[in-house]
Amino acid sequence: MIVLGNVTVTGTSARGVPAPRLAGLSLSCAAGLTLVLGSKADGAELLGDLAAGVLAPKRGTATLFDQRASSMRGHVARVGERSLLPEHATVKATLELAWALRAEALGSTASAPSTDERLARFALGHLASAQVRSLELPERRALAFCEALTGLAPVLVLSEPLAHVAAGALPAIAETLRGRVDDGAVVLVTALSDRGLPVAKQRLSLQRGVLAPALAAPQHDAPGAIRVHGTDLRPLTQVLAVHPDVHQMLWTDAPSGSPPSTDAAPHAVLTLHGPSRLALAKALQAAATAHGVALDQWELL
Amino acid sequence: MSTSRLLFAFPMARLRHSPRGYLPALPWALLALGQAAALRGASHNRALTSLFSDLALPLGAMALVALVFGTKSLFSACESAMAFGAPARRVAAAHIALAVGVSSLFAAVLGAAVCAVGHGSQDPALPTDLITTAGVSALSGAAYGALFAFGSTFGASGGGRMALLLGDWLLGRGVAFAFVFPRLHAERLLGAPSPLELSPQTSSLMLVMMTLVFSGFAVLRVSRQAR
Repeated sequence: MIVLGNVTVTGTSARGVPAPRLAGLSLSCAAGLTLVLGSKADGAELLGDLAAGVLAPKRGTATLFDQRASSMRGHVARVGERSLLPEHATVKATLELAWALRAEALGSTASAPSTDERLARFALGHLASAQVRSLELPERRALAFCEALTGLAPVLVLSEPLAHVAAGALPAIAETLRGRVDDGAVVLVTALSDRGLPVAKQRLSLQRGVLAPALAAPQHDAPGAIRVHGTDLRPLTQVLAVHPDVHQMLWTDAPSGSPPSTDAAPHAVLTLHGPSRLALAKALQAAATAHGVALDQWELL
Repeated sequence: MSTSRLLFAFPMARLRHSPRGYLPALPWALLALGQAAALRGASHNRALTSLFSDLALPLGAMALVALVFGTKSLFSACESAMAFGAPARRVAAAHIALAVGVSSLFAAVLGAAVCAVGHGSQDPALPTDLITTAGVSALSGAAYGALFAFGSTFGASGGGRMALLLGDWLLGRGVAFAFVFPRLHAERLLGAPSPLELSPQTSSLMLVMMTLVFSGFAVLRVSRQAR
């Protein structure tokens, strides 16, 4: 299980682009797929590196199975923008070395599957004897995903698994990723879109370093309502009450339908009614982000 | 495959597949041999204590350390093995051991070659002289290898190597830095006059100590960076 507790970290800035920054971010990923929708500029790459123990937080804690994440590198397969592969080793030797080292770190005695079969599955069979440094970017990424998805690591932290990958490897990545999620691996994926990815157990959106629950994109923009659960939703009411997409708010613990005026409601359930679910979702997300309100969960009605 | 062999596989792959990485060491080696040939017949000490110890030994060692680390910092060189779960200390130790070993072997072979080429009639018998020179050069090469491995823990691309090389050139002959840089001890053992009144055994011991201390510090720095 990955747990980030109130972490703060700043990335490196590229030319003309401000450095991404995560401040006071908390996240917990149990078995299954956790999907974080966000860009590199929002801090998605930083988040992945933190979760995988590649990067140490400036403040806060990053743990993996209750150990410091950086001491559990053998348990995590990280495929990010920059994949750490042995440049001078051959493609085949890379997979064999990775398997042997992970087996040692995990104390696993599982017999290694055929490397040739693993490579063939990811359309890399013809590159088995090529050096890693000679690979093009899509082939490098395919190799990194091959090692991560067919290897021993019980935790996967992946960035954009379906982008910038050799076309021949895409079906294997999608299928193997789905299989690993179904098998109960802890999988954290950061991506700009959920297209082609398995159904996430937890969906979050990362905007400018702030994590918030992300709504599942509705198949069609149907009229409807959203039920929201939160520890203290009152700060949202000021914003949502005047929002053009929200025409009614109902508080389940306030019979009159008005928000509780005292501090007596530590947990409230707010039901929003409006012209469309999509508009409501956007309104809710913007209001929650603007006011730093943590939403426990919500459901589309 | 045992874990130790696995850890050595990463730097070994760089040594095997980067033939051009040896090139920076070559000109200095040829210069030292050329000077030894030019001084042939005179005492070979002159050849060993000028271009060999001044240039070929430190520059060759630095080039080979850079080759083992892939011209990166030591931490970056270790990253790919660490990403697969190998413990930082052991990965770093494997890299440093190989760098020190290669540097030592280079120095021993080149020192013996310079000795053979420049051997004069007043020098000790050639077989004994070869063995002594190779041994002393190996110790010096190992100390330089460890020094540059330690230097490789500074800077994003291991720029500390160059800083320590400059330090060795500029300050290495100073008595005050005899415990930091190998130059004084290497030259003393190769036959140069020394301002330090140390026995050859003490200088040899100093080189061994430097090898161990610099290697240890390098391992510590990598494991700290990995946290």
